[in-house]
Amino acid sequence: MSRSRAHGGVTGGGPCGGAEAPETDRPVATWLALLEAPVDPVGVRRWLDDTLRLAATERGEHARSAAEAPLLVDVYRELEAIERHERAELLRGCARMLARSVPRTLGAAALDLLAPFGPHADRQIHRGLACETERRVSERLLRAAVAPPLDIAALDPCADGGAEEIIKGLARLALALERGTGISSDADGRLAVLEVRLALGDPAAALAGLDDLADELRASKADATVALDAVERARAAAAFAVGDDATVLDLLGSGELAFDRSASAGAMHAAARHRFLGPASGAEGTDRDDCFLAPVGSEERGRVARFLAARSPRPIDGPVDGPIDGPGDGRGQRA
Amino acid sequence: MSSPLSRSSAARSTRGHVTRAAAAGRWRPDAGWRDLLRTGRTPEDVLERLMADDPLRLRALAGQRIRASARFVDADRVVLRGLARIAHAATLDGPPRDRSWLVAEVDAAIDDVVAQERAASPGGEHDASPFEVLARPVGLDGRALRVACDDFNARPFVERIAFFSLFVEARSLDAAAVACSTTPTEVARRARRALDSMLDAVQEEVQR
Repeated sequence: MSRSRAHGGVTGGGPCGGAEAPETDRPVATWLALLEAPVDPVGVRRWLDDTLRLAATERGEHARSAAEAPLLVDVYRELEAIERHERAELLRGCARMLARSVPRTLGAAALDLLAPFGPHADRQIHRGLACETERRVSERLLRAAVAPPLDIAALDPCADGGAEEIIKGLARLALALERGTGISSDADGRLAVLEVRLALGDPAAALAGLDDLADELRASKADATVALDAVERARAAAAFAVGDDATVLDLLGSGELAFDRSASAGAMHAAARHRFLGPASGAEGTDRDDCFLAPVGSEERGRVARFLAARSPRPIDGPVDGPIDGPGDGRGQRA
Repeated sequence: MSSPLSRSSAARSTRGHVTRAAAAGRWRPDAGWRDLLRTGRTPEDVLERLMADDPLRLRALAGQRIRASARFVDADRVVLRGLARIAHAATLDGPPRDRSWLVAEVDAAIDDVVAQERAASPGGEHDASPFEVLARPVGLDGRALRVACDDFNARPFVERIAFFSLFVEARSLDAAAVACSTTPTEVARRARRALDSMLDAVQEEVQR
C-alpha cells in the first residue's frame, strides 16, 4: 500500500468512516485484531495520523504555534512533552504486544520474563488506545504541522509488509515522536527497535546492537544512567535468549534485577525454548521440568516461577512467590 | 517521566487517596473546580481555564507537596508540569472523583521534574536556573548547588526527610526524631548520610 493511500496525506485530513473498514483502515484493523484490542480502527487511524503529524513536527513548534505569552509557551511545551512521551509509550506497548503475539520466539520469551505483559497490562494498553482515539484533534498541532521539517516516509506504522514491518513502523514512529530528531540517533528509540528485533527472533543481532548502544552510552559525557539501566536490562534478555548464561548472571547480579545467582539461566533458557520454539518448530524442545521458585521479595523470580508454572505439565501447589533454597540449577526444588 | 500507565495507577490508588488527601488537608481548590476538567475538551481548553487565577490553587498545593516529599525542586516548574499533566489527563479520563486525584498529579509532576533534572546533563538547558539565582547571594556555585540537589533528590525518602527536618525546618533532634518516627541517633545518621552523599557528588563534579 502506498503512503498516500495509507494516510490520505500527512497533513491532509483523516480517514473515511463507514460500516466496513475502508482500505485505508485495514492494516490498522489487522494489528488491532492481533492485539485483540476492541478499539475502533477509524479512530486509531485518525490518532496515528495525528501522531505522524506530531512526529513530523520539530520539537517545540507545537508549543510555539500558540505563543501568546511566555508562560503559555512554557506550559504548552510541557504539554507537548507529555503528549509525545505518552503517545510513544503507547506505540511501544503496542509494538511489544504485537511482537509477543505474532512470532513465538525465544527473544519474545526473554522479554516476557524481564518485562512481561499480562492481561492487566494488555487491558491498560487497550484502554489507552480507546481514550487517546476519542480525543479531539489539537488545533495547535494542525497549525504547527503546516510544514513538517522531518521526512516521515519511513515511519508508516501500517504498511502492508506483514507483522514485522508494522511492529518496526510502530517502534520507529515512537522514536521519532519522542525526540523530534533523526530516527537512529536516540538511545530510547534505538532500544525500542532492538527490543522489537529481539522479540522477532533475531536475538544475536539485537545483542550486538545493544552492546554497541551500551558502549556509546558509557562513553557519552551526559548522565546516561537511566538509559543505561534499560539497555542493560534488554542486554540481559538478549543474552538469555542466545543462551549466554554467564553474561546474564553477570548483568543481573550487578544490576537492579533481583534474579538470584542460584537460579539457572540455562533452566530459564531451556524452558523458554521449550515453550516458544519447541512447539512451533517441533525441535529444540526439552522434556525436563525446569522449575525454580522465587525468593521472598523477588518480583522477577516470582515472574519466572509463574512463567515456568504456566508451562509445567503438572500443577504446582503452593504460592509461587514462596522462598526456595535449591541447588545451583534450581530445577525441581521447592521449599 | 511517568508513563500513562503509572499515572493512572498512581491517580487511582485507593490507599493513595486517603494518604494524599490527608497530607494536603490545608489546601482547597475553588468550588466547582471539577467543572473545569470536564471531558470532551482539548487540553488547550482546559489549560485556558486553569491558568486564569489558578482556580485549583496549584501553587499552594505544589509547595505543600514538595515540602512533604522533602525535595529540592523548582516550584514553578512543578506547577507548569502539574498544569500540563492535569490538562492532558482530564481530557482523557474526564473530571476526577475527588481532590486526591489532583494531589496525585502534582506528586507525579514533582517526580517528573526530579527525573528531568537527573536526566539533563550538568551543562544542559536547566543548568543555570533556578540554582544560580539561589546560590549567588550566599556565595555558592550554582552548578555545585544543582549537583548537590540532584544527588539529594535521589536519596531514599527517610534520609531526605531527616535532612529536611534538621536543616530546612530547623527542628531539634528530638522533634525531628518524633516527626520521623525513629530515634534521635537514627535521624542524625540518616541526615549525615544524605549530607555526605551530596558533598561527595559535588567533589566528583569539581574533579571532573
